Amino acid sequence: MSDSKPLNEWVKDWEALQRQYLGAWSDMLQKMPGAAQPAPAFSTPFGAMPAGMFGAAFGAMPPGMSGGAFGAPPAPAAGWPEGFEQWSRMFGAKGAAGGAGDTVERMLEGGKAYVGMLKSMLGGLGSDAMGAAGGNPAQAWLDAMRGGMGAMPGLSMPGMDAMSANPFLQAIRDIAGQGAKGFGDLPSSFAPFLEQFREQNLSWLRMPAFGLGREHQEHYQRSALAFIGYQNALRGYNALLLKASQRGLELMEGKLAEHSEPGRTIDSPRALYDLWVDAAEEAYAEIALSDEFGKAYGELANAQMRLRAQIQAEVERVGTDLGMPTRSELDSVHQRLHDLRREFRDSQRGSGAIADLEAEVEVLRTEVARLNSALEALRLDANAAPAKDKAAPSKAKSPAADATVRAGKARSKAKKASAKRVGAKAARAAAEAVPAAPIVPVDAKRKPARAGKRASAASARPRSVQRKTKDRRAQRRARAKIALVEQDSAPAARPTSFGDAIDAMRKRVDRSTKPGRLKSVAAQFVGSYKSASSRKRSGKRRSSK
Amino acid sequence: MNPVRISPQKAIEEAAKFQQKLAAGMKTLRELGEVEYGATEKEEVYREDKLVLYRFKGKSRPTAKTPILIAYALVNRPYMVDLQDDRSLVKNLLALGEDVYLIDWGYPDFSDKYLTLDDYINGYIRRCVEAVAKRSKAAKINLLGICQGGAFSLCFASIYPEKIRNLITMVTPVDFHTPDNMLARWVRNLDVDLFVDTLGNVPADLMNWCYLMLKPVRLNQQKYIGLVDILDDKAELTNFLRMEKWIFDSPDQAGAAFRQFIKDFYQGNKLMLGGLKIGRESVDLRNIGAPVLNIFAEQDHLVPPAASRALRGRTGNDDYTELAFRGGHIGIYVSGRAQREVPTAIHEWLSAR
Repeated sequence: MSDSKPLNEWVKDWEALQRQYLGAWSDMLQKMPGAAQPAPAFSTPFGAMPAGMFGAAFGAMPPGMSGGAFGAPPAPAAGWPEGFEQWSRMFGAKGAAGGAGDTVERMLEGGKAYVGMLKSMLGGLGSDAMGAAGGNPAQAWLDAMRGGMGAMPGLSMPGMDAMSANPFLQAIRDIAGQGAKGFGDLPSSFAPFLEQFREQNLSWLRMPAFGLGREHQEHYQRSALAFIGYQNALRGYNALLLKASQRGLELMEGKLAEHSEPGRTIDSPRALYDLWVDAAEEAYAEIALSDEFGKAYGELANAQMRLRAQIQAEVERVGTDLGMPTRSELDSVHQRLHDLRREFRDSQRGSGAIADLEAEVEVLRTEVARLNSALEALRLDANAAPAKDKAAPSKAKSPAADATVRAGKARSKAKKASAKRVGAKAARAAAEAVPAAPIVPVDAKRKPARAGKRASAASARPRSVQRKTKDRRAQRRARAKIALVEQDSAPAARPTSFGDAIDAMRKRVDRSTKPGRLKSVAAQFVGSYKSASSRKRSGKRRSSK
Repeated sequence: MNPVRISPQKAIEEAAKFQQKLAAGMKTLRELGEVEYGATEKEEVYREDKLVLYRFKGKSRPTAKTPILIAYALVNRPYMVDLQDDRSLVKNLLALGEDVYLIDWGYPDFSDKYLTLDDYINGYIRRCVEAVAKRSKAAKINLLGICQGGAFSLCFASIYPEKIRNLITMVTPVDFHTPDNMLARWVRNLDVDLFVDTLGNVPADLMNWCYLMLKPVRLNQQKYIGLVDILDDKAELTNFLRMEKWIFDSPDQAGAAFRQFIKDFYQGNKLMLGGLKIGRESVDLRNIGAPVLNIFAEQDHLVPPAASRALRGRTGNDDYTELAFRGGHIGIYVSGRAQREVPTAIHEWLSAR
């Protein structure tokens, strides 16, 4: 305000202008008929209004709005915020096109709060308050807000109804008003359930329940207690919001003081509003980062979830009674579906391993082809020097000893390979699969050690059991014999050259389908190839000597 | 001296002007059609459940040999990176010759409530990375993770270092327990099991309420009062509405994934402290062998800079670069400065590797 004018005069001017403005506003609205004819262009204290706009607006008004809303415009004394209500009715969520409805609603809510606050800051105060505040309307407003908050029954209410005059809390409440469901709000569909809790006398909540209906009674008791718990948590949370609001006023005071110097004074309502926003946010951040707020926030969220869970259980019970599918049933199905999908994915990842192995085998095949060519070349070399080659076999080890060495080497190679992919199992398989190694059935190896024990145990058994045991033993022997015959016949099929051995290996690889089998074959191949190569090299060295 | 010197005439004029702008703006608002978003042409290259993997098409063929896969957060829609023609990280990267892919997570519904972080990271992201690698015939790809998607990317790069050539994180929280992390302080006392068991999926409205409550007056009131100032500018208004759509066009959060994210990241701070497991896989940031470019916003109220900066010295590669952007969590994609600075920085950093 101007320093040159007495305070009372300032307030009078302000009120007069406000009346003038709102009077013009009311006139404008009254001149706007509820009918849909386009309104002529008209002038207001704030300039010319486009005619087409209002015609279009009225054309799009919701039914029932046109006459009533504009037939009774707010009295000038009602203030600017009410004007926003009318804006909202004209252009709000239902009126705005292009998905901008929510934004318009938010904007109008913000605008309403903004001018409402300015009104209370600049014009809503009596001259007494202004005088007490030393002629500073903002200070008077701060004092009034602080005084009002002190008198507010802040700790006796679960919501913020008593705090509607507080712009900070109003801003927070507006968030919920715009559809966002926070922890301070419960879905409206919960209302019928909550109503019964409100009506209940707390005295019965701790009473034991009996008989057929005891489970139901206990459920209702738990629900009512959850509701009370939620109210308490909400009260604690709101108390901290109130504290943040009060702190905001303190900070605002400090910020105003910073603007007392010449050249830094605030000369527009918007600047004053922005300053208040800065103070309010700063204060809120201070409180919201505190442990106390974190606990209150967590407790509010938890309390609301407890209450929701109780109500959901009740809905589920009713749904079951009515033969409706319930949330739990669907959850159960979804969970099983997800479990199955994970199993399937796991098995797919397993088959991915097979694909990796197949790719590895493919690489090995290429290598084998290359080696075949190299071997062929070596064979030609060997044919070119027969005398030297003949000397070599005399120094060679016996087949059994050679096989043992090869098996040992294969084991050691396979063990090294296991560091990468091939495990100890593959190493054993590689050792067992060396063609020249004499294969002895496991039973045969253990037989001498177990024979005595078996004989003594067998003599203690009934004759029929002994016969069956004998039969089974005979079957095992027969199987072992077949295995031995197969092994015995193996030398007949033994490859005559390394290339043949590779071919045989390839065939075995082709027959293999299981990943473990592939691993073992791959390891076997590596083992036999390396031992063959090493034999060849040693042969060459010997022949070169 | 009295700090407030507002003449009644000026106050009335300002209020009247406000109303006047509002009136004129209403006309503009009514004339606006549905806001559109997404500036760059894209093709679908892979689809699974509600997820779609897109490849963006630039005006010319990409010159970069290694493609970039963008993994966005689950809590908002990924079209923020390609919001409109003059505000598009994607478009700018394409113009610089990069080959850009994007994971669109879709909108989870109740049938997705049992999706876990294992499903997202070892499942969806892994398969997307493989799909991109296969399509581009690259053994490794560049991964660009944004916000929560950045945290996922760190996990992925730790579990599958052999699949990632370079890792870029944008506004990514690593240390969830910095003193200025308001969200982290709020959820520390949350009984997340009760929360998820009750809600199933976490509703988008509830998430948005939490975000608005970070700065309740600024985000819920002051912003809209500021909107009145641009109501007469159709282009600006369209931009505002597009951004507004993005802010509130939020998917619900799959319950099981949310549960683990809150427990292990926000409450346990395991990405920072260790002990994090995604499915059967352990996450250790030291396993990240790829060079890292960590971009954060200096005025970020959702992911404080300190939360992002914590990545320094924690990966397994000394090749670590930080880029501090002067702006906020959203400005880092859509501000004018972001268009000039961020894509260029990413491109140059990648080109040097």
